Amino acid sequence: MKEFDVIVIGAGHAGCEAALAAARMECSTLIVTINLDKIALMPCNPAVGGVGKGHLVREIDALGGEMGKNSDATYMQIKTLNSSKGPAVQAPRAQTDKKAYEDRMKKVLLNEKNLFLKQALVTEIIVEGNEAKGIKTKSGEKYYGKTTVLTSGTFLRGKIVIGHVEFPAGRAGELPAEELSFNLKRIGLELGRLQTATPPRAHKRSIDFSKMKPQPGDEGETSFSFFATKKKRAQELCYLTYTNRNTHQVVHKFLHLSPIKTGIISEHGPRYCPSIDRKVINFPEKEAHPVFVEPEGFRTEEMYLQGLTTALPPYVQQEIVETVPGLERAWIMRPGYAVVYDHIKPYQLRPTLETKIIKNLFTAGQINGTTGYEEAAAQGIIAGINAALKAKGKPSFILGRDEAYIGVLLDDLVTKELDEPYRMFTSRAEYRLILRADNADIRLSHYGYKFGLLTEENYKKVREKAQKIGNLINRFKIENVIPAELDEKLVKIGLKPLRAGVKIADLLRRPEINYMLIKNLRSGFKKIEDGIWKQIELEIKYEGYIKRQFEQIERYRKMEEWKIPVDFDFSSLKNVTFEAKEKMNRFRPQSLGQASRIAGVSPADIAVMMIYLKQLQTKDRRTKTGTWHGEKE
Amino acid sequence: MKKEKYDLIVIGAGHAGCEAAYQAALNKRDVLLLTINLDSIAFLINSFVVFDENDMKYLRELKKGHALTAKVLEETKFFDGELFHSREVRPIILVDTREYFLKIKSEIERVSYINLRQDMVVDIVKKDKNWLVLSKFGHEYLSTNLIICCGSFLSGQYKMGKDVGFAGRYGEIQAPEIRDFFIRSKIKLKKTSLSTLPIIEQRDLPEERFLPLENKIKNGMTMFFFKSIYKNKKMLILIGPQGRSNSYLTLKELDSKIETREKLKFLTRLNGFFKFKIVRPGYILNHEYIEPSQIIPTLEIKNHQSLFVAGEISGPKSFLQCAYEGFVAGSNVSCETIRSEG
Repeated sequence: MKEFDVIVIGAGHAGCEAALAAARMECSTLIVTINLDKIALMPCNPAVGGVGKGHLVREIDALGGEMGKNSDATYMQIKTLNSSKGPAVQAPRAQTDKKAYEDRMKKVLLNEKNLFLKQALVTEIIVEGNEAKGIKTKSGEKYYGKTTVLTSGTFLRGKIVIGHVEFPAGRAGELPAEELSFNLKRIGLELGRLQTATPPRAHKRSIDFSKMKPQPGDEGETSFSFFATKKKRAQELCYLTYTNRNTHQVVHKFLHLSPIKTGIISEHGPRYCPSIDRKVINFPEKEAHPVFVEPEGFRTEEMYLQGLTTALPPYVQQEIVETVPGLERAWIMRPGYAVVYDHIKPYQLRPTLETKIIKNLFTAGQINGTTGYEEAAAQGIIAGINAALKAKGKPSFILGRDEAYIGVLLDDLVTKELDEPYRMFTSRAEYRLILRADNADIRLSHYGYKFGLLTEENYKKVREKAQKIGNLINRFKIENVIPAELDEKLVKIGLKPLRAGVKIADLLRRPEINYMLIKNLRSGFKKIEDGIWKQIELEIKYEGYIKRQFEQIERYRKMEEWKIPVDFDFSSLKNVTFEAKEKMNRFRPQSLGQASRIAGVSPADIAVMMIYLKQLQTKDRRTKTGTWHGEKE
Repeated sequence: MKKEKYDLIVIGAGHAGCEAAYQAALNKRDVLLLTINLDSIAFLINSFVVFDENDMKYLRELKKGHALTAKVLEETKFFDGELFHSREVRPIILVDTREYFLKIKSEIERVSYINLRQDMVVDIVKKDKNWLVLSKFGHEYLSTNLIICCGSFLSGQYKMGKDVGFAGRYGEIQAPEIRDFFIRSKIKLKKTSLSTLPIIEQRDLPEERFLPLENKIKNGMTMFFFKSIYKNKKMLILIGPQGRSNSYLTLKELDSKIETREKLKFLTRLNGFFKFKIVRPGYILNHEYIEPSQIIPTLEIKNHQSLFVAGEISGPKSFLQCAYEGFVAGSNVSCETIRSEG
């Protein structure tokens, strides 16, 4: 049988992005899924984006991924979160039509010319020596690939838990992947176990929306993708209601039945997406928790009850739901449940998402211990690009923490000990003012173009936009506004009139001034789109901070450039704490920068390492031996 | 624990189950419709829904009775034609499988007398004159009538090459407890097997080797057929799209006299010839069914008043026959309840 360039196992959010990236990079790609009818499924809330996550989607889009376009095409509601807060934490969030999302993604996969889709249950990664060669399916077929990307989500030895009931399943009603999990252990990967859960869904007819607060979408033209033509569409409403004391009393009454209390679930769940049981235990002082009631699709009556995640027995779920205003007569169509699954401890991965011990095997998505569709898709596109590059014998692609949230995500995964599913937040990034959701295209599209994932036309648009912004900023630093032009407007909104002419840039720098005031000042300004105005305003207002962040990046870059040899013996280090040695041996950092971010490694340890590496480097330059990370192996 | 009382509980939301629930609801019966997976109700394994005169007969009956199946079929069909085969004219109708599922689900959800829920049944008990259905997750449901339409889920076991496993359908977990109920109730079960044919990719399909069939639907889609002889038996292979929105093709053979294993063998040979890119392999499903002599024409089981069965649970049937049985059971249940009230 012919060998594929890239084989992708799993067609969830990570798998789809990985396969599309590889196929678009002219690699013959095979994608296998356990069920053809469940491609790009969103088993939890069909929502994409949000703070941190929305940044990831924009970055995926800038790299030439599909998630942003797919969300734009299928959303029922879209809005910018935190639009009243600082620029770093603003991000788009969409409620999509679950089924339409699946259908469109499937269509995209089917229309990709180098991509082949197949339904099969993979039981084994074929490994020869320490190299992955392909896959074996349960029905006995073998497929060979130069590289393999594993994106099996929660299916590895998946187990569903509801109340005291537990049974093996990858998702509700579906078969788990049992053999593959044992196979991964056999080939030497260390697995951990994590848990995640989903709330019950209720029938629209049984909900009294008059007791809830409607949550409309944005009126403007919000979208994820930088490249699609923007179109306003009719949007659906979401609703907000709250739990109350009664709710918490019911939870307390039945807490002894909760799987987290009975011990059926001992694994860690996502801290920032806690179950109602967990919320009641952890925040006894809180009298109300929000419950967002959100539609699952244009054509279904199922409503998602965000905030009521639980794996308590369904009759208890019913009682809990009934205490919430508007849900008194709610008919639960699907019970909430928890799923416990195996994951690969990500310290075993390189920042390219290739496993350290098995060459040519990449892993991406929930299998690496993350939570969220966006985190999965972000890893998917990186693994797909790197698998394709590797198959073609080209150098690998690593995004830095200073370039993208995706870089932060990957760096965190390979340098941090994970004890709960990893979720992206803006607070995880140190260069938030640079890594904004609005400038992801300017930051990253040159990569997308380089790899052939973005068309020349789209890339040109981004270049033009960047140039336009740069030119306008320079112009505003020279051009003056005279008092006569603006004073009337300023007084109208209760601001002091200008005393003399002011440079436009200086004016925009004032916190109380926004671009809306000067948007119509000159005839040429009208042509400038709102998106560009916003970026100009941000770049000018936060110029000082942004400059400082760039300086910081420069300082740290030196640390990143200190590469550590592949075979470096961390235990031979003197004057380094035992803990630091142990941790570095486990994570095997590739640069001093990476080493410095490992918990348990102190600045003092880094100083020692630096001296050590300097000695090594001079010695190395003399002898010309030893392999360094980042160099061609 | 909460007890809920209904006029009717329908177990299984396949073609029979959905139609049964819909018919009873039309007659204002309170219905609870239970399914193991809300994402695969009214599941069509392939898009061929009509391929002989028998099916046309069922379709006419369903249309006459304003059945949900007939309505949605009309809305989602993309091929309607005829084929001359074995000295007779065979009607051929194809529907978009995905659209069909989405529409049925949406319609069912909008009927106020139907309460649709994802749950798993672990036990069924006759209590006084009522049926008590116990769910895996602790729900207890009570009803006057019970229709079981769990299709091929009774001891379902699939075989796909070396891959053998227990499943109601491939990829889904099975529900063994309903079988225990039948055994305990001294209802005889028999074994049977059915086969599904593979789904292939449209890309690179040598269309010139097949004959296109004329479509009565304007702007509909094209389908092809191919005739061959295998072991002195005529084989007719139909190749048609799975739906409007994807490029899969589904295979369907017309002569069901040939044994399942032989069919797959033939197909493998055909495949060697055409080099189909198989996206989803065909498989064999062994399962048990209720021996039909125990069922009276209303689809009630003899000596088990108010217990009905419909669809493939009483033997292999075509999609429309399943829907028709659902229609009959659902309508009869309504009469029964009205009678007992009267």
